[in-house]
Amino acid sequence: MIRYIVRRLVEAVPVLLLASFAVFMLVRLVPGDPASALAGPNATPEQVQQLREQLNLGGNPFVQYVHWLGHAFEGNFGNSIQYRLPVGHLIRTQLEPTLQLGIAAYIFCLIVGIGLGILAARSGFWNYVANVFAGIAIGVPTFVLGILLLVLFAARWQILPSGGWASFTDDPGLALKDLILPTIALGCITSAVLMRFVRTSLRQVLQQDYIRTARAKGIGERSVVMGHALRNALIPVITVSALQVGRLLAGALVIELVFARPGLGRLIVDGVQARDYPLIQALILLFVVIFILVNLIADVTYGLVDPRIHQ
Amino acid sequence: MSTAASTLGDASGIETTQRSGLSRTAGRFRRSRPAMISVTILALLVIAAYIVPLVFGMDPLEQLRGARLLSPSSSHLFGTDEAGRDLLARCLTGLQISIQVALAAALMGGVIGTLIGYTAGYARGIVDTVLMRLMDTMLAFPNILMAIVVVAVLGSGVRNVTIALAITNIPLFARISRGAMLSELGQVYVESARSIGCSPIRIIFRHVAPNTIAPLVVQLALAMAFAILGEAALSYLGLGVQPPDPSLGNLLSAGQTYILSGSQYYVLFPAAILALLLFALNLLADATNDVIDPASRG
Repeated sequence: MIRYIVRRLVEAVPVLLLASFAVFMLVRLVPGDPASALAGPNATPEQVQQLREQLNLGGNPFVQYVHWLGHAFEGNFGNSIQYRLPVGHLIRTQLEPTLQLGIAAYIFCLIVGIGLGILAARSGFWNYVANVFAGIAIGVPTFVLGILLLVLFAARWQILPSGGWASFTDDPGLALKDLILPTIALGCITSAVLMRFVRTSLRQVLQQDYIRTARAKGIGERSVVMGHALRNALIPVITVSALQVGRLLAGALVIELVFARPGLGRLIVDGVQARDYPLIQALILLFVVIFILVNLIADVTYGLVDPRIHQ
Repeated sequence: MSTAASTLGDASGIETTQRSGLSRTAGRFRRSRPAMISVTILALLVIAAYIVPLVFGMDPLEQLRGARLLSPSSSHLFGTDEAGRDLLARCLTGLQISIQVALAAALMGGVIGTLIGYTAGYARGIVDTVLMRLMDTMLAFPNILMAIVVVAVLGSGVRNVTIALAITNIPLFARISRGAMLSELGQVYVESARSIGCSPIRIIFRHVAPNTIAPLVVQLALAMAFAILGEAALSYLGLGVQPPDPSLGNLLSAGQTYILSGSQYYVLFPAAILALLLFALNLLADATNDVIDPASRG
């Protein structure tokens, strides 16, 4: 098993190098001269030259890349152009709200997706409910769903806040309240995807011989489903759900802006609008690393849960 | 007739079966209720977007004095926005932009992706590995983030958003067309085309392409749905169509600021149009899939 993990880690290195090089080259792909565009029409040549160095635009791209990557390993991505603060510091301060939302949405998806999937696999009525839910969740874009939730819960009934954020260490109650609407808006699509997987997987498992044996032994239906069938049915679901973590984080970027939450979403959108390339590069690299790790974890857990996959 | 044609050998024989297959598919399409519902909704939306503003002389940028944030009435069916502009006119212009971006991004991404997929599937070997590795890497990156990255490089605006969404559409088309190409290459008709000396280009486009079109058509509808969603999201974030020009996305973000002060119609109309458009395209994709491949119906 450890050999398998190590091999997967080694395989991830070239992908990471390639992706980081692509991220580094982004600024050079910008049409025109980004340094003089950012410096503005009244800038002195010295200021433009300084910006050019800040963007790693001077000299051989490969030498600059190695340099940049070396600093990146130390968490040093230079200074943000608009905030004039270290990029690493900016990201660290904005990481918590995004992670909070991502984790909350993941838990929501697991509960709703697996719960509804189990119900839908065994009852016609719940199957109908699940289909309606999936139709709405997949048809309505997450950010539109977020706005609709705001119209109902924040404007019409005024029972939940329209936005904002609190840290769980400061005020758990407020943090939870602020999380409810964004979590539902973000989690619905992924819950529907998970629900479909659980439903299909559980239906297939329920038709297998060992389930018939368990029923023939006189074990109660609840125990057959929860104890015997679910264990095997959830194996493919683990991989699917792990792969969805990346999608949830990307969705969180947009949902954060709907609910006026601070976080990486605000940071990347402001960065793109201000053409703050050091900040954009660092954020994209962060996401690349997260996605590669998530894929790795998905593969490894799959191997852990189902020993048949080892080789 | 068909036996006579098939004895003629390669191209003509294939084409007769192809044509009858196509007309049978078209018949199934016309009899499918979801397909007809989605086509009707889409046709109505296109008419609303392109013909209604012309007939009624609507101007999405005209500002009426003293008519800020009006509720729907007979003179302004959707009400007005914060600058006294007619919201119906703005929604319909936004719908036009959505349709244009969707068509352009889906077709551009579709053509480039399909060419990459055909090349990879036909060439096999190292070309296949390199191209598909690249496509898989792109696919692993969530769509919306990919589009944000491209906009970060090119800048905002309709044209750049279209390019960004076209690029994000490429990998799925490549994967589907490669798969179709691989399964067709094993067929006898490809071997016979090769044996009579057809060039690879001719084999790919004249013989194989018509047989791989079905899944690509379904993907085209899905790609359009994704492009509409992507444009709306980017414009909502302020990275797409820039005000004062309207788009469904920036109407949503402008309307959202007035939810709490009581003008909830503002945000509901663009939201409803967007949802209807996406619903119709997803339904069209599902219905087309059922018509082409009845066995896949769930």
